[in-house]
Amino acid sequence: MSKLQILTKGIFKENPSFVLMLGMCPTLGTTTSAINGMGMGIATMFVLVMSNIVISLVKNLVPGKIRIPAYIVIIATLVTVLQLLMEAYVPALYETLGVFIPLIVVNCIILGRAEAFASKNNVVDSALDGLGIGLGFTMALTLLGAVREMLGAGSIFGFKFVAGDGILLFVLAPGAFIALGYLLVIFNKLTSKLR
Amino acid sequence: MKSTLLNMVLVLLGITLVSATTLGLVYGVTKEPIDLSKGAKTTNALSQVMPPFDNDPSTDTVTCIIDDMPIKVYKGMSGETVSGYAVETMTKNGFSGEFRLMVGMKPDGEIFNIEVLQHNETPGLGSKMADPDNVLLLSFQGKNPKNLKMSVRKDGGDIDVITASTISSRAYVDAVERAYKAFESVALGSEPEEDEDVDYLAAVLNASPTSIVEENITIDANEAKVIKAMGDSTVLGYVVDVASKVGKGVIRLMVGFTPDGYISNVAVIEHNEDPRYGALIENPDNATLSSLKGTKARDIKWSFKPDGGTADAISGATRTSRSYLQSIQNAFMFYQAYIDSKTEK
Repeated sequence: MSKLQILTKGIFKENPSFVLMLGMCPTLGTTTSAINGMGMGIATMFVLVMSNIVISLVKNLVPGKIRIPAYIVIIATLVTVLQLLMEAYVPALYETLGVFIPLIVVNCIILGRAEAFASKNNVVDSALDGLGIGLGFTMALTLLGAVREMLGAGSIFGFKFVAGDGILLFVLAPGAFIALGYLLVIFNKLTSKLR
Repeated sequence: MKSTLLNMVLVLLGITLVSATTLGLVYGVTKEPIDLSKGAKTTNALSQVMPPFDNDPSTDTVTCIIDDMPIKVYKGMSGETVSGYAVETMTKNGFSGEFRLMVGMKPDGEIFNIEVLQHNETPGLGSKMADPDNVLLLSFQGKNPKNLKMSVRKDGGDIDVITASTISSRAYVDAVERAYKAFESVALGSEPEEDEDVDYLAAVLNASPTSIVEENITIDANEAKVIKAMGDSTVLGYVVDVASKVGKGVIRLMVGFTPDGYISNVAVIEHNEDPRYGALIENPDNATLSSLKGTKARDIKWSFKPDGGTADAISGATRTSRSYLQSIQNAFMFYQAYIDSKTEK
C-alpha cells in the first residue's frame, strides 16, 4: 500500500463514522453545530496521530499479554495532555465539548487503530494512518454538525442565514440519528464506485 | 515479545512512570494559563453584573452553604461605600444537570444583571438563557426579588419562561432564588452590626451626632479610625475606634473625646481577656474609667496611682486594668495624631 493510499483510505474507503461506524458516541453527542463537530474531530485527530506514533515506537517493547492496558495508559495520558492544553489555550471550545474530551480515551477508533495498525506498522505509516482516519472523522463530524446546525438553527459556523429558530428537532438527540442516517446513505452511494 | 511476569511488571511500570512525568510537566506549564482564563472569566462576569466598582471584589468574598451548595458572594466597593454584590450561584435542576450563574445586585437587593457562567443546556433551547436580553433575564433585571413571586408564570409566579425550555427556566429561577438567599444572609445580615457601632458612638459621646466624618490614622503600621461627630453645625466630639494589641490579646475600644480634649466615655467593643475580668472592664462604672472620665486627656499620667499616675486599677484585676489603660492610651495617641494633623493644616 502506498503512503498516499494509507492517508486517503481513512477519509473514504475506511471512513470511521460513515463506513466503519466506530466512535458513534462523540459523533452523535458533539455535533450540535459545525464548529463543535470540527473541534471534536481535530481533538480526536491529535490523539489518534500521537497515539499511533507512540504505540508504533513501543510496539516491540510491550509484551503481548499486557498490550491493551499499556495502550490505554498511553492514550489516556495523551488525552489528558490534550485536555489541559485545550483548557489553557482554547477555553471556550473546551467548555462546549465538555465531557466528551475525557471520553476520547474510550473512543474505539483510537484503540482500534492502535491494535489493528500501529502495533504492526512503522512510525511513518502509523502517523499517516492516524492522520487519514483523523481527517475522515473530522470531515464526518463537521459535515454532520453543519447539516444539523443548518436545519436546526438556520446558521452555518455561527453565521445565521435564516431568521428564527429552524427545526429544533435536529439540534436534539433524535435529529442526530436522523441526519446521520441520511448522510450515511448519501456518502455510501457517492463512494461506492471508489471501493 | 514473550510475556513473563518480570517484563510485564517492568514495562507497565516504565510506561506509567513516563506518563506521570509527562502529565506533571504539562500540568506545570498549563496551570498558569488555566488559572488566568478562569480568573479572567470571573472578573469579566463581575464587571458585567455589578454596578461600577473600583475595588477587586474577588478579594472580598464570603461563601455560604445553601442547600448543600457553596454560594460565593462578592462585594463591590466604590470608594468607601458598597456599590453592589455579585453572587456566584448554581442549581442542580437544569435540563442537563447543574449550571452556574453570576447574579449581580445593588446594595438593596435589586437585580442589576445576570450572566451565565457555565451550562450544558440544550443548544438552541435552554442555551438561550445565556443570550443577552432573553425574557428570563428581562423579568429579573431591575426588580427586587423581595417583591417578586420567584417562580415561572406557569407555576403562578412573576417570571417569564423561554419558549419550550420550562425546565431550564425553572432551574434558572431556582439559582437566582438561592443567590438572593445568600445575598440576604451576607449583605443584609451584617446590617445590625453597623447599627450597633452607631449606638456605641452615641454612648461614648453622651450625645447623638447628626453626621460623621471618618478618617483612618496610621501610627507605626497600626491603624485606627477617628470619627468626627457633628451636631447641626458644631463638633460634638471625636471618637477613636482602635484595636490594641495588649497583654495576651487584643482589646478594641471606642474612646470618646469632647471637642476640647476631655475623655467623655469609653466603650469596650471586643476583647479576649478572661471572662471574669473582661466583665469588669465592660462595666461602664469601673474604677479605671471613672478615674479618667472627665479629665483632660493631655494631662493624664498613663499609670496607676501607686506608681504616680492618674488612673485607678480595678481591684482584683490589675493585669486586665493595665491592658485596658494601655488601650485607652493608645486611642489617645491616635486622637492626638489626628488633632495635630488638623492644626498643622
